[in-house]
Amino acid sequence: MPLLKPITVVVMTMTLLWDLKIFDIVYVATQGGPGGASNVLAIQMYNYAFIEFDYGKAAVVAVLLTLFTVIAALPLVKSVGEES
Amino acid sequence: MRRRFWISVIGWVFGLAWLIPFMGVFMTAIRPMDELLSGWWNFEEFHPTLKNFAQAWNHPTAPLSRGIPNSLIVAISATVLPLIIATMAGYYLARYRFPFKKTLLVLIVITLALPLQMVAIPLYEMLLKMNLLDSYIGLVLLHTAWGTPWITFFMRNFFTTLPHEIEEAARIDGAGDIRIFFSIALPLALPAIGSAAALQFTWVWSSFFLELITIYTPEKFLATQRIPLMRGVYHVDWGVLSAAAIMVMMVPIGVYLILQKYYVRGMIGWSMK
Repeated sequence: MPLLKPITVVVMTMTLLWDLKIFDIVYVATQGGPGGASNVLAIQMYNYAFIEFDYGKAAVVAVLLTLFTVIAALPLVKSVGEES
Repeated sequence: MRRRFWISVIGWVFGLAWLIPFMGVFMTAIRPMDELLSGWWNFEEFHPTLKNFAQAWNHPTAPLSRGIPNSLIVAISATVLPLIIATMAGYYLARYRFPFKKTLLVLIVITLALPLQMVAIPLYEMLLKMNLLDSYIGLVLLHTAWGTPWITFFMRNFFTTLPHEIEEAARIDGAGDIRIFFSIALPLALPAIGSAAALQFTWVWSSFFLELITIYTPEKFLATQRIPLMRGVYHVDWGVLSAAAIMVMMVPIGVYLILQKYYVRGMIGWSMK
């Protein structure tokens, strides 16, 4: 297990990032419905930007989503920083 | 001994549970609609048919016969372009010293974390101004830009695991930087290139968001965009949907099978020493 740690960090971070950014499965399956029950940030951003054409709101959602993903990516960033 | 038995039992249960959705899609695709109403797991009547596949291929509103070639054009160009750029960039990052190298690496890793939604609006505006909306050139450029950072990171990790000695020997024999890269480093990196190509191809092939915001004309729709269109408004023909999903899935699976030899050996690109 301790020897696997570098790989585990990469795999877990990647999976977490991937699922935070999830868009296509939700969009195709439910479009965020019923009544926003399966809404995710990526869908919300798409609706604001390309359905309502309200770029301001969409940008806010996008920045929020980015904050979350960057926080999730910190372990990976740290391990790259330590290595080089 | 008993412990090992239970561990393998747990492994099998998880593995089979993971296969159930694929079984479902496959069974739904090969059975006619009236048999599916009681569920694909109901085998009282079983008449396998290929009708659903033919229907998805020649669908009246979203035929896959045009979607798959379109997807192939985009996916192949958006795999080759970033690989060319990123292999060179990764080699440079692994072998040379230059100011702000660490900052650049950290920046690359941060771009791995960025969601596409973050850049969607500016990209859309840029493509609009450059007249590249609704064209494959724009889409391929987007995918290239989006794929280059992770492939660079991947190739750089792979090159750091290669021994320096061969390259040093070549340098003593008088080879220049470019010669060393093309005649020595590049052939050694083939496994990593194969595995990055398989991943990038699959990623571009199954990507949906960029297509959704950049391609409008129905004839230009890619394969992934066509599957949701096959779902009717009043009635969902699951058989056709599943058949389409399987046909679209076959292409990346084929790519993996072709590149399998490289794929496993190249995975070392994800590791960090």
